[in-house]
Amino acid sequence: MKAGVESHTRRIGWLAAAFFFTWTGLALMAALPGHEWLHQLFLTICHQIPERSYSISSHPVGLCVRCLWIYIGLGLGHLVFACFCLDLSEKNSLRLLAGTVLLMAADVGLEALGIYHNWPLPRALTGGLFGFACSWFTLRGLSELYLSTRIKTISHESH
Amino acid sequence: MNPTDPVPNPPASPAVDPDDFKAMLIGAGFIFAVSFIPYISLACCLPQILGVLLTIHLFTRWYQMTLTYGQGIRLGMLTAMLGSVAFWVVVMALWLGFGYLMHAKENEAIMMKIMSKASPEMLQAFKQAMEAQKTQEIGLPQILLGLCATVVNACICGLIGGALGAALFKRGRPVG
Repeated sequence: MKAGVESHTRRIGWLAAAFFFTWTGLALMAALPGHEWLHQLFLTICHQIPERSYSISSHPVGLCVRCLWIYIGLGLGHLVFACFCLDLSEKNSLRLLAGTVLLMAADVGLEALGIYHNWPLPRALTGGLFGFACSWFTLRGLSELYLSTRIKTISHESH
Repeated sequence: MNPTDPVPNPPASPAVDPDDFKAMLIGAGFIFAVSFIPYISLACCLPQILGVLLTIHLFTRWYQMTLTYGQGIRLGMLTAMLGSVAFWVVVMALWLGFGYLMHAKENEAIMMKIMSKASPEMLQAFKQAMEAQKTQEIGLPQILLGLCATVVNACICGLIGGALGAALFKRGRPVG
């Protein structure tokens, strides 16, 4: 992504970040009394096991720690890449992504080996980093989708 | 091979337009089939992302092509939506037609486990709500909520899987 981020990419980044933060907010709201039905929204996408989720007033939120931080990472990543113009090449983005996947695999492996048990900190860190690394690719893709749609619309209008 | 490295001798693009429907159908079929496994939600969105990656892997291999990130996301979203909505339709058909709710026991067990940490009053209220849900007729709000959740979750998985698939599977000339 070039240093000078175009205005449409910036707008898409803001919108995507707003979506992911809203999604995270809904997951947090699921812990509030009267909003239990929100758990159903995330049932197909996350196991929501209470021991592996954050709690508000001893009531678990709608996403497990890792999933919640993946979405927070995605939201933050879209903001950072869209607004702060981080000039990251595709090769380095892939390296960053591979590193975060390895970290996540290491976290799963270490817990499976019994080195530590149900420690939320590494799950939050690895999940957040993975989401952040993914956002470079998703922002670029969304920006391309927007441009190709615009080009099609303009060519239809000119005909 | 590094996925960002250029292909030494990219094969010529086929004369016909590449048809992504077959690859999409296989990926969606994977998502659809895997969704029937009880407790598959323990794997979070991994099966859906794997289904999308499978679609992009097959499509780029068959046509020796490289998708842009936008094309990957489009293909990924369609694949995830096709597989997830097909499964949702089957679940709804079984529920409305035969009164059988798939994964109901597993989901109830998970929800009870979630609620077990809540206060006794909340747990009691939730149990009553679950009992009431079993006896009540399915309404439009439940159907719409289920459909919305399915579509949004599929879009998120398609977005992530599609962008990553386009980055990982580069096999020749770009499409279009």
